[in-house]
Amino acid sequence: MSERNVTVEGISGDPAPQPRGQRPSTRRLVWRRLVRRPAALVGLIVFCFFLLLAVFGPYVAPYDYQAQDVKVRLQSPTVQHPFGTDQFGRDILSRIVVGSRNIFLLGGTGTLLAALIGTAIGLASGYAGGLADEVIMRLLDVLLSFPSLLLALVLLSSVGPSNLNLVLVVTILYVPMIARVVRSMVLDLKTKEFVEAARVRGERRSYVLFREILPNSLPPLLVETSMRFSYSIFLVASLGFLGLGVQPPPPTGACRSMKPATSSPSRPGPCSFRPAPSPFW
Amino acid sequence: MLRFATRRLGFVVLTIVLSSMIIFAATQILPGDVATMVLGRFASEEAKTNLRHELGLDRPLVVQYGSWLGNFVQGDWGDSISTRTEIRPLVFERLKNSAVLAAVAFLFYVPVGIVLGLIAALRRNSWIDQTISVGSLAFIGLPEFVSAVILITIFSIELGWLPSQSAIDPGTSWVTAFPKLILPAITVALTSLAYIVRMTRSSTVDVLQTDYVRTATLKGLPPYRVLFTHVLRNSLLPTITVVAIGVGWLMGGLIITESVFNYSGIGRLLLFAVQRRDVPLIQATALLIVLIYGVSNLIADVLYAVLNPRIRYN
Repeated sequence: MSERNVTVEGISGDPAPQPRGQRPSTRRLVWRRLVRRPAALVGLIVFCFFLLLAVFGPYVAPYDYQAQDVKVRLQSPTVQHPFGTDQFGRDILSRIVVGSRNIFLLGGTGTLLAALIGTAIGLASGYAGGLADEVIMRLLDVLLSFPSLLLALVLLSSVGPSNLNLVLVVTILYVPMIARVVRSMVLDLKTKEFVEAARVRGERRSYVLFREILPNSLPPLLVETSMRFSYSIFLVASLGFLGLGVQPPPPTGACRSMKPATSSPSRPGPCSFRPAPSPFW
Repeated sequence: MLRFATRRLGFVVLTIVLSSMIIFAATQILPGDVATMVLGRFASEEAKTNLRHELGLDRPLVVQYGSWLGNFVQGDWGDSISTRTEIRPLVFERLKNSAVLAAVAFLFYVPVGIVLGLIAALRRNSWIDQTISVGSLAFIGLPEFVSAVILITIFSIELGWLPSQSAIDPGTSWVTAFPKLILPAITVALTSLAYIVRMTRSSTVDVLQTDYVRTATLKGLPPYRVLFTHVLRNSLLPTITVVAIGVGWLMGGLIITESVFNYSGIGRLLLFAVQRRDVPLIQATALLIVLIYGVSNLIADVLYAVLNPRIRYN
């Protein structure tokens, strides 16, 4: 209850403002909210755990992720190998730990690029309005009319799977979604008095866009971007599973989950998919 | 109403035409030479030129695109490069399989999702609601290839109840093949189920708090009548949209699920085409999926407007 009161005060602004020191800082507020919502706190802890794992993965992994030991191949979990071993006797835990790094990096870079480009397009399109806005948005709608995995497959089929291409695919897929969110915020903010005031007092367009509109569209943008980030991890893992993700030398987490289906030696399974013979790969 | 529908239809047609351009551009312009692919790296230049001519690859791109789209519309989808057979019967055979799988999944997740969502909404904040909400959230975060492997481990390997591979020979009746459909259908359904549950729950919670529902309860209507005549008619509206859009989700989910279970549907066909760089097959399959996706979105929009007159904006 008190948390809600604080927020309301913060927004409406008391007629007699309290001295600065007594108002809870933003950091405090965030912390207090986190503690009140166990789900959010758990989520944060899990996220940080995996983030740390991705950053320090190679240093904490118990084995070298490519070290093969044929004597212990296809083992169930043991004390030495908590997640068991794969068909080459490589430690699966180590491979997951090291592989999570790739997924974070690829998904993260792709989402970040998408956020930058999407914000730029959304700002420009929404602020310009009129025909330009209509045309840009219709074109982005076309990209949205593909199921994302389909578009990713079609694009990767022609350029071939590589880390750079994966990042670009994630970017292309998420630019329209982020642009839409930013644009809708711009359309809304454009009519607000403070933006009008800035325009009337003769501020430059860049000032209006970046100092008045952009900061106010940040909250939904951040929410959308973080959602996209989680979906991008999903996407990169799915593509990895289909054999179009990170290519053999470095591992991705996704490939490892196939263990039961690939363990039959006669069928190599999707993870061992190599690109079809082509002079370009 | 008719104007709204035609307008939406116009947009969908435009979108699909533009999508076909993207598909064509992505598969045709970007690097990779089909002739080298087919004939191998050591084929003579003359043979390659001949093949390119035979496939029409030496014409300008605009002409190629025009004839490709024209042929597609007229039902001539060309031959697959890798299987050397006609594409259309192949794609329709696979599409039929996928449709059956999707239908089984659909019949499972739509009713179950709506019922679970309603229960969660009616018992809001109780432990039942908590379990359903957290559970559905967990399923949203679970990729198909993980849930599929878990299901296989439990039901095929440990319990031995259901087959883990769902390859269906052409000609078997669906009744005998049904056990093979169960695990893939559940896998496909899990993600969509979670969306339906969440959508139904949140919209029902909103409707339950409205004045007219309170009035209905206070004037002494029995709870089931309040639920069926006042709550459901309003709260299921957003769910309908999710159901229709879910067709697109299904398409995405099918690619992965079908390849885990070895089920010969359209998703696995697309993956096969991508792995073989079979451009005509990729184009036909992708365009067909986009078509289905677009039409299902159109149906969702129109249905929503029919059921909810407040939304008929122009």
